[in-house]
Amino acid sequence: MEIISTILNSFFGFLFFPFKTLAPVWGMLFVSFASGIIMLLIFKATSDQAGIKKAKNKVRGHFLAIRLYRDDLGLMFGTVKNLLISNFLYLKKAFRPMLFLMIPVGIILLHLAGRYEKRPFQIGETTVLTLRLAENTSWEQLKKVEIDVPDGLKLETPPVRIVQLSEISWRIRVEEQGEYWVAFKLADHVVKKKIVVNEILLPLDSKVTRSSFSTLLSNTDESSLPESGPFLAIEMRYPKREFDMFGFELHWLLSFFLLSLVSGFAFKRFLRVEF
Amino acid sequence: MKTTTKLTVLAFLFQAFLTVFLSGCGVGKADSSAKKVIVIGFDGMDPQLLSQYMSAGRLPNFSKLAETGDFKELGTSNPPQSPVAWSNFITGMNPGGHGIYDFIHRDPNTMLPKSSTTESVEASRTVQIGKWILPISGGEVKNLRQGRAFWNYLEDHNIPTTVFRVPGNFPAVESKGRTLSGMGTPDLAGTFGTFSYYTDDPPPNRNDIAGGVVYPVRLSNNAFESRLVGPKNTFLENEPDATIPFKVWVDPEYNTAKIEVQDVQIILQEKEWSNWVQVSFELIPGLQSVSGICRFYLKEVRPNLKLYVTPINIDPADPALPISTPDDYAKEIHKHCGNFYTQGMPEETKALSWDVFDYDDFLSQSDNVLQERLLLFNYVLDSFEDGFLFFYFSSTDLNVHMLYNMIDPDHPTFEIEQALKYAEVIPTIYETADAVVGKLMARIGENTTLIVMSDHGFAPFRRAVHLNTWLKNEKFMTLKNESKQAESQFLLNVDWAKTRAYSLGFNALYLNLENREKSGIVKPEEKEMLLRGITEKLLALRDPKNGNQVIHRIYRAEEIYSGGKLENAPDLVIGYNRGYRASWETTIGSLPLEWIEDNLDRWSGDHCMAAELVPGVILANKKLNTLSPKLYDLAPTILAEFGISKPDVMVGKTIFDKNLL
Repeated sequence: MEIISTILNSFFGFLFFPFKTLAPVWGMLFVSFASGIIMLLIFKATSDQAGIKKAKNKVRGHFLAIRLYRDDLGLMFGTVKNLLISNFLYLKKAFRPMLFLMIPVGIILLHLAGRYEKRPFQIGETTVLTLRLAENTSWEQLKKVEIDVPDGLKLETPPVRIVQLSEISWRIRVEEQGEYWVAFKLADHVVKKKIVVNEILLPLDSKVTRSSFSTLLSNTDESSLPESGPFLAIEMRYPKREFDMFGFELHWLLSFFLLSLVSGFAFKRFLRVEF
Repeated sequence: MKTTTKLTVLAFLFQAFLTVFLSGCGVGKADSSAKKVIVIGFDGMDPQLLSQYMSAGRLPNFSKLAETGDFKELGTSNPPQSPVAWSNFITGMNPGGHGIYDFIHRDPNTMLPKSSTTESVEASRTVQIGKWILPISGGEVKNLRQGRAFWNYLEDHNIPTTVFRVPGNFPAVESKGRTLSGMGTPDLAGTFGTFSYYTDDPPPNRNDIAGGVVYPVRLSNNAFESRLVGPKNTFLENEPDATIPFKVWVDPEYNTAKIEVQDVQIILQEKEWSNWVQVSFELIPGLQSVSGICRFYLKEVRPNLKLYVTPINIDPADPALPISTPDDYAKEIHKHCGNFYTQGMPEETKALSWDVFDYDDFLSQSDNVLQERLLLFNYVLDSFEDGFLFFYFSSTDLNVHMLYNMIDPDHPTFEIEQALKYAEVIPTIYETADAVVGKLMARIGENTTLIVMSDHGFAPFRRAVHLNTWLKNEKFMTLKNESKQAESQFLLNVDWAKTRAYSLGFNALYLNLENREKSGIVKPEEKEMLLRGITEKLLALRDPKNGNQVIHRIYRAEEIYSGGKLENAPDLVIGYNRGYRASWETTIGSLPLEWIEDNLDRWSGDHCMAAELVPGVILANKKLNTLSPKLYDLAPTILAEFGISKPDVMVGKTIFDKNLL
């Protein structure tokens, strides 16, 4: 699984590389249009194209019948019933390719979310960095945890240590652009969390945990925490990215669906896909 | 494709290209040489203090403006209170025209005090479903100021306008220009600012504190949970407060705390402020919520936990009330500058008055306000191209209210040690104002008129006059129950069948007039005699402490007001002498036992006195044609700068001397 994750991360890294330094909308435009085309091809390959065409023609026919026989109530009801059945058959035909589409769309969304849901820090911003330790970690143990903050970041406060939650939090201010690794140490155990201070489009992880299904889906180069150590998770919050599409504030998810739909309709005839 | 269709498409594309290209080239933008008028309002900037600091060489830009242009005292409104004064400025009328006579008016039908500037109208039709009450028709908040704002006249002539936080403009009146409401804008709870104070050491007077609520908390395992209190939930029966939970953890050793509210985490050290935090109060689950912003201040961790939270301000990114025109102007400012105080009077004077804050706490908070305002000023100035710009600063007013005792050795709360420590606060604020003026002077061109003005000046507030107590002592007022004299508020203990005069607000005195007041007993034919009697006695009043005259002058409404909105006018406007002012108790209809006492409040400077004792200032880069300009002269003057004649309803006159341009 980790290999797949690495391959996908490299692939999307490559895909987004030309757009890293451009306004985020350009990467979104490219990926959405490309996704529209890829989804068309997957749909074509995994669906019964002839069956879909037939089902759609039936639906069209029933619509026509409704318009023609609108004065005949009995016939109308019968046609509506047939329309519903044809519609259901159409949906049935579309269901299989939709299942196939779920996986690539899910992966695309995951990698888009990593880039568009949050943005890297900007100089002067602060964040709360929280280290969670194994349950029932003692106060004496909590007191021994050390934090190492590299130049470019500034540790602004002493820790707030919460014994009942086995966690410690600090406030950090970012002072220079760059990618930083903050280290936490308890006895011989050392773990790190990456903090990105930049204006470019990068995948971001707010949280690192011990290895789990969610860490396999991670789209950054941060490795999960060791299973055996005292640390459970390191967490912080990147600022929410305000996605701007040529002056219109749209949620990135909505933008993606709209743009990929436009792409799908635009290339539908060219690729001879029936949907 | 048919030829005509192709041509249409080509024409469309060409037009689109032209639009993009030309706008990119700046064609259609305002002409940089177009006429501009910039007015900077420094609330409460005092001519005496200004002259003093200018003479000391501390305000080089003000001095330069005065030398190259002009500097004079600016006649304030009568009474000299901010909502009245700024309404004079906005409308070019006196209170008889715009109808704002005091911070507080009284309703003659109920004899209760009410806000002079705004009125909330609840939804007239509602439907109740279980405990939920759903409005069918919308409620609204009304701006009670009458008369057109001068910038509306400018807009009639297609002159772009930006009016930033002028007081008395909430809700922002309809405008084609960009306006953001100022003084009078409530917090999310609908008050003029109610702070929250969470502590395990609640002060004994916690139930008396006005302008804030104390929430006692108890630390358990170095943590406590409490709730932020937001607006009333009008969708529920009995309108309970909408609240959101938050949790605080304190480090067992360090003086640091972690606060979690909704999805926001904050870490603060002692004496630190958080950034603005956006909070959302759910009114109807899943359907309706209202957004606000607040800041946390960790005043103390040990020995006692003391956490202050600002009033929940209206969120500029998602305003629950109409604070700007166009509606999205507040959002635009937020997008460029981040969150900011939207509350009308943001400086936390109440917390200082009630000892929730000490001076250092107050100064750190008021500095937050000032720094934020400077940031907004830079944005507004950078985005101003031409037309009219007004920008307002409050720091010269509320800081001086609270720190006047530092520069007044005769004040009963004057302490030499504190005075030495804080002596520089007021001059430093004036220096900041000077830097603003310097920045403007460096940027404006020849075709720009610059006016720097204030609505009033300042005077010491050493002695508090309980005017209703005096009226009672002089038999103009009778109480229902003498033994409860000091306990009652809102004149509720007054026997109206035996009372001839009363006071509500800061300078207003009313007769209990037949056919005007609910239980009026003074007949029209008795009015003149009664007014003369009260006036003579008040002018003869001497302070038992030092023999000084308490009242400088008394004005009759008919002598000083003109216009069509006289129904709320007081019968007499009391012009207190320097050093004297109506007590806080008087303003809300309370009667302490003594008629005068020392003002021991930290609110130690004021201007609610005789108008001629507290003039404001005007400085301009042009010569004035009069020795005694007035606030209401500014509206016609600004219109004249754009070649617009004075509307008939305005009482002022233009004050720039055309011959000296």
